[in-house]
Amino acid sequence: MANYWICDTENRILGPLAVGTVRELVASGRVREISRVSKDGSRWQSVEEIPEVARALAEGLAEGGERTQKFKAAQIRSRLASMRGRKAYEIFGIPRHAALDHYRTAFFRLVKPFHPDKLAEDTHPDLRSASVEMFKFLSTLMVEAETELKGQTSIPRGTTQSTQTSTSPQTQLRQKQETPPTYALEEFVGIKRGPEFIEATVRVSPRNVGIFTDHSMVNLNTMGVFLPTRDQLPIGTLLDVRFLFENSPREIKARARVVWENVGVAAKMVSGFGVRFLRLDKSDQMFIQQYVERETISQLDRT
Amino acid sequence: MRPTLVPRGGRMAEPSGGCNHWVEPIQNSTVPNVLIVDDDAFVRAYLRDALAGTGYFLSEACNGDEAVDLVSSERPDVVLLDLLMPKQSGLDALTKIRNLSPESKIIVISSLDSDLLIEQALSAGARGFVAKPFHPLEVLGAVQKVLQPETR
Repeated sequence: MANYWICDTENRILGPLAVGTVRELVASGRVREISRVSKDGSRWQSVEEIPEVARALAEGLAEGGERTQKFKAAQIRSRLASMRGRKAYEIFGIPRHAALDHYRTAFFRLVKPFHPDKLAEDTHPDLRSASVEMFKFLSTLMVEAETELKGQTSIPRGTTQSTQTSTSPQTQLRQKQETPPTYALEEFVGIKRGPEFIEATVRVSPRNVGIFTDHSMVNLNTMGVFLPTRDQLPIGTLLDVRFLFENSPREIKARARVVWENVGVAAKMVSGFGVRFLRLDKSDQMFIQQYVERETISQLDRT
Repeated sequence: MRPTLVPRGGRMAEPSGGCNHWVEPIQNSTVPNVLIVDDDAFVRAYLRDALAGTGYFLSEACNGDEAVDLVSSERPDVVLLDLLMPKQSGLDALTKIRNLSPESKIIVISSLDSDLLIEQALSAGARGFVAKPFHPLEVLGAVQKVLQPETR
């Protein structure tokens, strides 16, 4: 069986590989681009010059497209299952007593990718039906929320003018919660240095829960978190990390070590560092997991 | 006393450039030594962190060429080997390492966890395959498993 070596756009080499393995790697998305191919590991040619590899690449991409769409359909259905039974404000990621306009804005943001008109003509039937299912679910949720909110805002008889115009503490809190954040992405991490300590305070909100999930190496599953910040700490640094959660009085503190540093090209995308917890209480870990899951469900347009 | 890992040139390597080299010869052969091979400096740091506190002697190489050089001179007990690297494919390095040092137990650590590739790596002599992204305990468990004495 003929064997080939492939080189990606970062000049990394893999081989010897059978053509079938090349096709499988491309179809699974694990290899996305092949810049050069070699039949002996030393003399390199373009992909087009080796037709069997070019064919494997094309077949892998085509197969990968269908596989990816089926996977996306399964993801949508899984999310849908976890959303059933939850309140609209939880799914939309907004405060419970938000105004109707806030509900509508959140709804349109979430439902956009699933609108039937937004799906490409060649969308796989599985993905199309899952998207339509999600679209109908979110639309029904919005109608129910709208009905409930309109019922709550009707002014009861006998209410005096002064009562109607007074600003209750609940209203003030609602207005405060509805104010969009003014800090930039990296501003929610504050580093404090003392003579014998370093502490990072992280303000966790529905808008930045990705710090626990997005990084491939430092994430909650690997007992870590990525902290986007311009304030770098070298690898190996021990620090205390304090998490403050929006809409929750919970505060979590954990000892951690810096194990990842975004520098160079990566830093141009996101500056920051990753830490791994030396110890994180089980209850704290569960709280973070539940907070992230709850907020991630309401951020469907991030997928 | 376990030798201290000292970078060549006396300074910490830059993540985008070279990598730490093992410069001190092994004096105490009873301490398992583990060679980490990955072109990504941050993965190397992450693996180093995962194995911190085990007492293993840790060394690093940032490509297959360096790994083969280190294996030929030091014969590590375990090699944690990435597959997709510059200069030399991890699969080629795996074959050379097996030939140079059959006693070294190779664990592949790669994001390319396709069935055919895993089968190929194991057939080529790898003792295990850990898919990226991984939990530190996965790597620790894999290393401890291959270091266990083989029962006959």
